[in-house]
Amino acid sequence: MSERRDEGLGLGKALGRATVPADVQRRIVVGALDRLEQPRARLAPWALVAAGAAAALAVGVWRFSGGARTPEAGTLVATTEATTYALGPHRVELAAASRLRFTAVEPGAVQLELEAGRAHFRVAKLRGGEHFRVRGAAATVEVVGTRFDVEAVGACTRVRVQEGQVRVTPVGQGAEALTPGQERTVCPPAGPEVLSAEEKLVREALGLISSERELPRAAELLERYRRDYAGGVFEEEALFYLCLTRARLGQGGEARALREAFLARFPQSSRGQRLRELSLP
Amino acid sequence: MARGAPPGGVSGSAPGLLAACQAGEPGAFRRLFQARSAQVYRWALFLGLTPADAEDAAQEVLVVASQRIQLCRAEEALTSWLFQVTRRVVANARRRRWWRDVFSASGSDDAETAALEHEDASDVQQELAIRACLAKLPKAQAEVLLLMEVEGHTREEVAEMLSLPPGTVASRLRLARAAFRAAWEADGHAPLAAQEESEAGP
Repeated sequence: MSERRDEGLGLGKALGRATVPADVQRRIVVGALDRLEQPRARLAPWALVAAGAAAALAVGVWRFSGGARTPEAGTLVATTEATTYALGPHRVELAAASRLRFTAVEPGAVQLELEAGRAHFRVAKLRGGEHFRVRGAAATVEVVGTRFDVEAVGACTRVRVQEGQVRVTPVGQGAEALTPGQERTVCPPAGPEVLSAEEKLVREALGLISSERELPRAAELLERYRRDYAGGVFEEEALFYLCLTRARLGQGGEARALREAFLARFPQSSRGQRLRELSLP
Repeated sequence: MARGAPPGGVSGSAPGLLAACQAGEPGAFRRLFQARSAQVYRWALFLGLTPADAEDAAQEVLVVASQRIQLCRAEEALTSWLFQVTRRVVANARRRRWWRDVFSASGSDDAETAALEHEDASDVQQELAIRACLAKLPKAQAEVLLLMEVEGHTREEVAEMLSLPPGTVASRLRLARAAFRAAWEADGHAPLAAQEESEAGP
């Protein structure tokens, strides 16, 4: 086995012109359409009882959360109509045609990414150590306890504060506090200077990784990012890709340590599963 | 077999179908389901489900896809996105089957049933043998073999579908081929004819 050349197995050829039977295709299509139109028709009697109990529980939760849904961490929602979400005591009103990723949703730590559209936030008072952050394309907005809007306007991020105070940190710049009535639109600088040094570093590394060129150099750039921009806006990406790069370079020990660091630092990240599945040398 | 075109003859959807579904055009989901049902069924089947479970899973994939269609960002990403949905649905179906088998004395036996239509009846045994050997492989290896060897996708396409670097796909493919050959020969089958190309991709 080990001396054999790595030739294709010819499985496609072995299966010849095998096709999916027409009646199977028809059943799948009809069944899927039925399930779309009558989602409860397939429930067994015991399932109906369970569904009833779940519904009663859901009504309680629904009332408790003021009729808002609570998405799981890692979920990306795309709205066709205005929708309200509950995150513990906080509320997010997402406008129609908006996209919001719930990166972290846990007591005391909420992190969201507004990819498109507009969202209004009503944030309950935060205690020491708690945070509520919204990342836009051009800035990260951190709540100090307030009501505010964040809007993605092209590549820019617009923030309006109605109550309380928020701290706006444009990518690669210092933080600025906004008070009620204040509005701030943060755009990336135009022209060749559009990227911050922080972003340039990460982009250069990702470019090398995606083309599979100079992986040691990519790892060096990501290590530098972690050293120079600890806690920066690309911290998660840098740690994730550094782990993958070390694994690709056959550096299993380093990759394992980075994986542990990632899972500890970003326990709610959707990228965690990918790292857990990583087979390390 | 043309690269990127599955042997079952499902090569993709009509242009604009994704946009039509996202816009809620009447009949758009039916057209999407018709265009993709065979492809999704084959994926589920060769990822280790029995024909009956694969049929259920294919329905579920299409329902989930239609409910989350706004999350698919481009027509050209539709195949890749559908495969991601299929992976999750198949994983859930395998977990359910595990529980079902735990509580069932007889277990499931329709894995021994041919699921595809063959021009030559002798190919039925070939299909069963391939499915049985694929089922013995780790999930990550079976996925790569399915997409490259059975479905005929290129390494770059598979890299995108699995969100992996192309180099990782190549190394998984090497391991998967070796594991498949070992399983094939352990089952007492004659060696499969080697393809002319040693590896998919440019």
